Amino acid sequence: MGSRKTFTITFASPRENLQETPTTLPTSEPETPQVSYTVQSSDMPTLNPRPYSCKYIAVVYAAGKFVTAGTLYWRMKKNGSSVRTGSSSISANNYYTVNAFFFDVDVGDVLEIALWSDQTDSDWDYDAIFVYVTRFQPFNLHSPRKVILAQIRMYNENATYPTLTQGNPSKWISYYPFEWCNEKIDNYVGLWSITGDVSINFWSPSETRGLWCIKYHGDLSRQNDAIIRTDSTYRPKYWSNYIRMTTICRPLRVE
Amino acid sequence: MRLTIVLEFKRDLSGSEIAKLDAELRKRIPELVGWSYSSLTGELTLDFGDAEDLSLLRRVEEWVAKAEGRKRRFEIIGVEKEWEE
Repeated sequence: MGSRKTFTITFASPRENLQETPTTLPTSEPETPQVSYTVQSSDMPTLNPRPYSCKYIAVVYAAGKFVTAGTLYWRMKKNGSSVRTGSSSISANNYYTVNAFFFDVDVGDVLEIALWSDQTDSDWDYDAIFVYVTRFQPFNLHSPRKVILAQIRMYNENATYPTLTQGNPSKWISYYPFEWCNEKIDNYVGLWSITGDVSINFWSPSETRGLWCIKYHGDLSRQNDAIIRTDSTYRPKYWSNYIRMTTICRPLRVE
Repeated sequence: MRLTIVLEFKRDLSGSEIAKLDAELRKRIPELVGWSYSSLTGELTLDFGDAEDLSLLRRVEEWVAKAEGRKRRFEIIGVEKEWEE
């Protein structure tokens, strides 16, 4: 049995950009996407100590306004390749926010969103990026014999992330931000409530999904996908949730 | 309600193809709020906003069945409803 460790996560502040004067959206796809972020080390969450493995999700926001009712078209690109395209109906005088979830990102990845409209008086004036953790695997499960986890405790902080300086957050699937996973079904065995605190004596986590992973917010659902949210009074319209998880456990080698 | 279908082809769409697909989808399903398509997985997700009308689902199923009749393979892989506080 190895030593018991407490794994904590600290998120970086979102990077945001608000234009003084909104930029008019083109009526055909722009050659160069308007929103472009190269993931920096300062965007990445700090994990202490480092777990054996985990993956990162980056949510990139792009927001603006439609004066005339119309259709917003968008494309997500990762390192120059298209990963998702789509459209959304926007009512007259409504703000829109593209919430684009890029799965499995790392420092140096270039994440882009292209926007265009079927109307000539639509604009874009805000963008941001925030990175968080999923598929948390605290220990190597084969070192070299099979390893399971013991004396596990998982709990999330009673605060939501991210917080942007603009707009208003709402809670995403407020009762189920996390799933915790086991090796048998390689799927969830439990859903995490708003703020939860679970203790388990022994656990054999999923090889692919780790001890826990994000449920809707860009991993098990919304992986490399975007959701367009609208509001008549503000942008960005985004989700904020209880995603800062502390994990305490020790490895147990199975002979 | 969001409905996800897997399309047989997995290729990138140009801007004009996106506009064409958008027009086609909205003609067939006027209640559509938005959609997204992944060239990585072939998934086409149809977004009906807050609508929970099951007749919508039946109509999409009929559309899928007709498409299958034209030798184009579609598979409905999931319907989900989300909510928030």
